[in-house]
Amino acid sequence: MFFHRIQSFTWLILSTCLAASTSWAHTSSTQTKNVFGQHLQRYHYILAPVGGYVWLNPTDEDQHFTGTDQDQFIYNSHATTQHAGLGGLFAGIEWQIPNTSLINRFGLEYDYVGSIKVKGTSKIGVEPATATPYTYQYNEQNQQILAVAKILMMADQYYHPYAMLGLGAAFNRLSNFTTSTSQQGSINIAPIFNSNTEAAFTYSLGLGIELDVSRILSIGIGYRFSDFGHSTFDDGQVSFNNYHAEFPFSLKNDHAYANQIIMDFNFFI
Amino acid sequence: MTKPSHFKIRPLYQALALIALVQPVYASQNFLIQPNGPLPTSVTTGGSVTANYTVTNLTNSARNGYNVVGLPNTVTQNASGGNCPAPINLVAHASCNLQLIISGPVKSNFALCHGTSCTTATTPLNVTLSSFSRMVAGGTYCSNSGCLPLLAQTSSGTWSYPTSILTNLPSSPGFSNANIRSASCSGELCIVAGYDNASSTTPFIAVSTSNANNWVYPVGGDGTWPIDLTGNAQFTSASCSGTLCIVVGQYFGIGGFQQFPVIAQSTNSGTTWTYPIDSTTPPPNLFINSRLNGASCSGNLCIAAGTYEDNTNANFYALLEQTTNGGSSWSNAIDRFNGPTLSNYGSFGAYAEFFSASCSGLVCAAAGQYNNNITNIPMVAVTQDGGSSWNYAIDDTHTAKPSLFSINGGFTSTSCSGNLCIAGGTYIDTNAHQQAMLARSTDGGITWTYVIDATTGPSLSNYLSSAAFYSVSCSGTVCAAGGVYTNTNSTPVPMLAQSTDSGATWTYVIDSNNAPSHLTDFGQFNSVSCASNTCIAAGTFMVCGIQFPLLAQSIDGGSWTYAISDNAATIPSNLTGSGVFNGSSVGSTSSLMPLTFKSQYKGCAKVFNTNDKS
Repeated sequence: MFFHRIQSFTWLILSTCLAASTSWAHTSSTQTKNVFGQHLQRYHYILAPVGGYVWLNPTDEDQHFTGTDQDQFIYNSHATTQHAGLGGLFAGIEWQIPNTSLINRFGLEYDYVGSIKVKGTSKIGVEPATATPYTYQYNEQNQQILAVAKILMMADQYYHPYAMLGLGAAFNRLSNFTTSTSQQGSINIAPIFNSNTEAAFTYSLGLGIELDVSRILSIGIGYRFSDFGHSTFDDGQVSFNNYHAEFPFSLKNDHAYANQIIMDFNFFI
Repeated sequence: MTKPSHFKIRPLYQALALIALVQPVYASQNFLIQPNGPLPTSVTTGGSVTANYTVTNLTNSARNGYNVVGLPNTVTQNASGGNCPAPINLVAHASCNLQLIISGPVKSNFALCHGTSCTTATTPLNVTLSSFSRMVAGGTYCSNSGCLPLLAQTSSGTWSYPTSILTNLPSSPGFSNANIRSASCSGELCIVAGYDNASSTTPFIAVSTSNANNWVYPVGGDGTWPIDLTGNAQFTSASCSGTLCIVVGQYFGIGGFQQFPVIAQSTNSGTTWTYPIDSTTPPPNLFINSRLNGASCSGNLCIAAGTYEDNTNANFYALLEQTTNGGSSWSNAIDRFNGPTLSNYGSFGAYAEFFSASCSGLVCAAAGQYNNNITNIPMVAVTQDGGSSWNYAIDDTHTAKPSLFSINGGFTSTSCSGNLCIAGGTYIDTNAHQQAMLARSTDGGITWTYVIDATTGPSLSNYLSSAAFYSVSCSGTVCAAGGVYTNTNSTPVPMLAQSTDSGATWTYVIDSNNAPSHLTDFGQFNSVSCASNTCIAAGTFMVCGIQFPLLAQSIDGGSWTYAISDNAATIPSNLTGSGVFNGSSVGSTSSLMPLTFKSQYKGCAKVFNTNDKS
């Protein structure tokens, strides 16, 4: 289902771009000069390293599982906004929309977001009065591949505001799940969840501005909002020494919202 | 397993969860699993101990189908006899006793689990393998109904007196003055041997195996001795190795003229006994007297050592008999005509006698004394090849005498562990002081040095005179030597030296400074035994004219304490006096009965009351 959606959007973008290019090919163009007085080429290939800072907020929803003999496993997420670095690479092509001062830029972007730590508390037991309290934490790390469409305004010679839309696939990994309790004596045992990487639909929306630095370089900075989508652990297990019981549930996050400040260095080829 | 119920909790529960977070964290669990009584801390090889836990269902509904998990297979649940069943089913707030049988070392917690629902116990098991299997000490004591075998034993560290040693006494002949002289344990098997001085002295052997409390007498009743044994017989030394046991001594044959060495032998852990050495296999030219004083087995090698009187010259020759095939056949390794030659041994009326023997692997030592035409001097014979060849490593020309040696020296005990051998005894020095001596060899008995004598070794507190080692034992790097010396109060007191570095250095762990506090007349250690780093020293002491058995022990390398003394809680309830341990053995790995002395003793003003157990 997910990959079908990705395919559909990709074809939508490509067809839009193709229509625009076709349209452009059949219209007379009003060429625009850049700050260096050069007429813009009809198209450029672009290679752009991307960097930025991310404020990531996994969804803060509680989860509840019922295990053997009515044993309740209640997880309360205390996920707060975490920050991490982002690095990536964009590769694409841009061309001027005929009879406009707009540049259409399209390509693929890969982003790697640094790992964040998610924390929470849980209670394991048949009844609230017999439940053992735990704290837990794990790491979340996200990557994405986006089909990006960006519209830049070339009205000014120096500064070019833009808007962007990205659609693609995120690869969200949950790992290093640990849990502990300060309770002494008899304790109800909490399960451990196995690390897992989940592919999910992701989208990004952004606004920013680019500055032409030279014939071949422009620097952009902007704000971007992303939703990396769904992430989940693999099934867990309750283990004690040589005893293991499969735990057929897994902790998950439905969304991971990311507010980003993005800089890109666009090299025109 | 319940079908997953997987839904998201809405804000109300979030609020409740938040409230729960800020509350103090109290212990909460589905079950409370806590010890019911003290947990065991050690287990002997081949033995087992029991741990009890109370399991309580703390929930408001029944919990069914829970099993004990997380323990090694040396721990099993005893679900019978009213204990928690397996699996455990408990209604709300009900409890049961979970009993675990532990047959090996374990250091682990456990849990009760049913699928993904698991709760751990409050206290993990921590049971180590004890350095000993069984320990026994044997001797005698007197009661109002006669003098009886005294047998104390332990397999867990707590000493007890099995009643079967008395209730299973053979009915014929009657026993009225029984005395255990020697003990030997090998794993679960323990034997004791001695004799009874009833109308005629008759020997006995008692055995217990897997059921430690069941002692039986395969030898001791009518018809269980050599066919020509009619009396005047003694068993003096016993030794077991695996399922092979020998007991040695001597008896007078028909007519009561000649005293024959005797070896009783069992190859089935003491169940049945034969006599490969008796009056039909006398030493060559036996005149009247002979005796076997020491016995030792290691694997298929056994030796029995003593002396015998030759009828041609009235010499007492050292006698050493051995088997190298597990008792299938015996031969004389040392007698007048066999074995090495003693230096300066006399030609008429001479004397040589082994008092003790010890084997470890292919190394054996037999220790005693002989007369070099001047005086009695120490003697040790050794073999390094399992009895194929013997030589005297200590005699008049081999190994220098102990420091300031003057007269009357001899070894009473020897012990080997691997290539380490020690021999303990006494001698008179040039100042006319009787000194204890201890010789040591680290090369299988080839060369020896004196590590304790008049000028060597640790100092005895308040030494006056008459020091002697009666018994020594080594196991690994741990050695102990016990005996007696007279302190500056002219009181003979027990003496115990210990080494933890294979006999290189020694300290007196028991001497006049820490003798039994109520000792008034005398005290001594007669027998010492070590296995790994557990040692016991057994003997006797006297308080205001009453003789009590004495036993000190060091468990798993711990400090020495008195486990059996005049404390009424540590001795048979019907003891009236004459209590003494003559033999002891540590089988191979304990809890000490704490030593408590009655503070109301003031000299001998308070007479000991055997019924007083306070």
